[in-house]
Amino acid sequence: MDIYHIIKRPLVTEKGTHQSQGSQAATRTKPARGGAYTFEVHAGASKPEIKQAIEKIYNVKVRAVRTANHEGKRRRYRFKIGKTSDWKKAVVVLHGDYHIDLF
Amino acid sequence: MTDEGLAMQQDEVLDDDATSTDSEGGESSAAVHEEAELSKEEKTKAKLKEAVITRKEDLGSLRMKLTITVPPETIHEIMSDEFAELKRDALIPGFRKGHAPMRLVEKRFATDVGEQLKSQLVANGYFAAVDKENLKPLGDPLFRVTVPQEAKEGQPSAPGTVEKLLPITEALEHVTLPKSGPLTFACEVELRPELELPELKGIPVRKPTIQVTDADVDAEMRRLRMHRATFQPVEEGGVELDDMLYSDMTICVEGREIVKETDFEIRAGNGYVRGLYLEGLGAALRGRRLGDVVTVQAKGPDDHENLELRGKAAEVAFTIREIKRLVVPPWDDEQLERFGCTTEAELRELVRGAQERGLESRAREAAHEQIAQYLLEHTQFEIPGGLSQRQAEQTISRRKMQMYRQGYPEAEIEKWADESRGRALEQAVRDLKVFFILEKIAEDRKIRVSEEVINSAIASMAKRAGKRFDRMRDELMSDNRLSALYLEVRDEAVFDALLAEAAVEAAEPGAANSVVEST
Repeated sequence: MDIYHIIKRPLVTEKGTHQSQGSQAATRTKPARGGAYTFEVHAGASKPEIKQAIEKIYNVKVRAVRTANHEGKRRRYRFKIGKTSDWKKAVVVLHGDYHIDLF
Repeated sequence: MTDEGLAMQQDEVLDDDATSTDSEGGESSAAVHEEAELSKEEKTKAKLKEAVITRKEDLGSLRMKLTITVPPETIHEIMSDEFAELKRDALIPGFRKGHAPMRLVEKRFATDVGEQLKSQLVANGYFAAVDKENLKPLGDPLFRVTVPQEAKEGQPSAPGTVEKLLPITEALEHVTLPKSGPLTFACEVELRPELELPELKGIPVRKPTIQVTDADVDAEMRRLRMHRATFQPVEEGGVELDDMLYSDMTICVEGREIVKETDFEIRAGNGYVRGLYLEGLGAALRGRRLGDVVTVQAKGPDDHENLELRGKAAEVAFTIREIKRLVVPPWDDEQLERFGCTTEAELRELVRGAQERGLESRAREAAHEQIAQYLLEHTQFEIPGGLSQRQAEQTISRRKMQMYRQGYPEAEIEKWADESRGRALEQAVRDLKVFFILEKIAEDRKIRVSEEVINSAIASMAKRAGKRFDRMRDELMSDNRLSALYLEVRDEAVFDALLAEAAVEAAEPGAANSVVEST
């Protein structure tokens, strides 16, 4: 799969902005905070593929990738019942020295 | 009156109205928002007033070029304020209201804010400069901008740019807000003339003593009775001047009958009959009786519609069949009641009073005119050329439009316009001078017209026009004539104040009309 097909778009949200800001190192009880950027990715993409794609597109070093599959929402139009597409979210944690300008 | 001068006054007059219509929603959120907007704009103006750098250049004839520079730090400060305010209300997908990061807000709304800021900086920058330099401009400024040269028809687009003077709405398209550094723009403005008032006490005025004679009242009484006069047949006696005659009429040329009409209606007096001017008809008819034949000689004009009468000597003969005379009925109760009187003597007094008031008002107008003339002769100042030119052009174009509507040929209208231009300019300069002098006097003496006075003027206008007060007021407001009315009433007040201090010389009672007419 092409790297530009793996990464669909960055998700610019309030939560995502919070996760990207600050740079707290991980403690014994809490994970590291900051430097995490959220993207919508191809539903079939794996974590190593996402890592590789992000590193190539944004020229950064990725420390970790967390993913989550989101089931599409149910939608009804008059008497027809449908569903929006399932999608995958990836939270990419960068090494401390790197940073992505999303906006 | 100048349109520019009116705007400010109109705002003052209309302000009260605006507040009154807002009675219920006075504390509504819209009003609060409006207030906040106002204070924000005032703050911006205050910031700009402190910061703008203005270079003045006198262009002569009360014109001035202003080169206004807004420093970069002020631009940045105002821009930050704009974005901070926007951030509070911005709704961006993925963020709660007011929680979007500033950088995102800046990026997303940069174009809109930039445009808004540009117009705000140019408009408020101009006002700030005018305030700071204590200038008194007339009307709106024209901004000097560089625009691309327009290509002439049939030619490839011309390279290069050209400088133009444009009103703010058009000029803003050609002003760019620099990414860094100051914003500099230039405008030209006409200035209110500075004038020194002459001695205003003891202005010589000839005001006639008002006296209405019995003959004047008699004439008016007869005129009123004439409304009910009717033509009655005259059985005995001869024709008198202005009688109405019914006759058989023939027009003969060289003994040949050209026109023959029966029951032809004619007024006893000289006049035209079928395109022929009958010079001695009045004299010929006088004293004639029923059945008499009156013959008058006439000459057909060269362009007469009837070819047989063109340039020919014609004989016009009338055989009188009926004589009718205008009979004015005496005053009766019904007639008197229409005027709200019970006796003729009462009506005479009413007529006398009306005539006295009419003469008094004409004499007052004449006195005002004499004062205006004195003020013009004793006050030396210049009027901005552009303003008087615009005023004259406005008068001419209004009159031209009237002529178009009345169906005058275009060539004739243009000829009239060319001939009248000089006169109109002269009149415009005079009107403007009087306007500025009266404005200065009103300002110095703090003569203001209260809303009650305006309302009473509208009420009397409504009464005369047979309309309701509120409808009349609405009409005046929608036509933008309320400001003109304000100025008219204010000018009257100024003239009256000057007249009260004038050296009034009483003219002979008989000279009332001559003084009124000579001015």
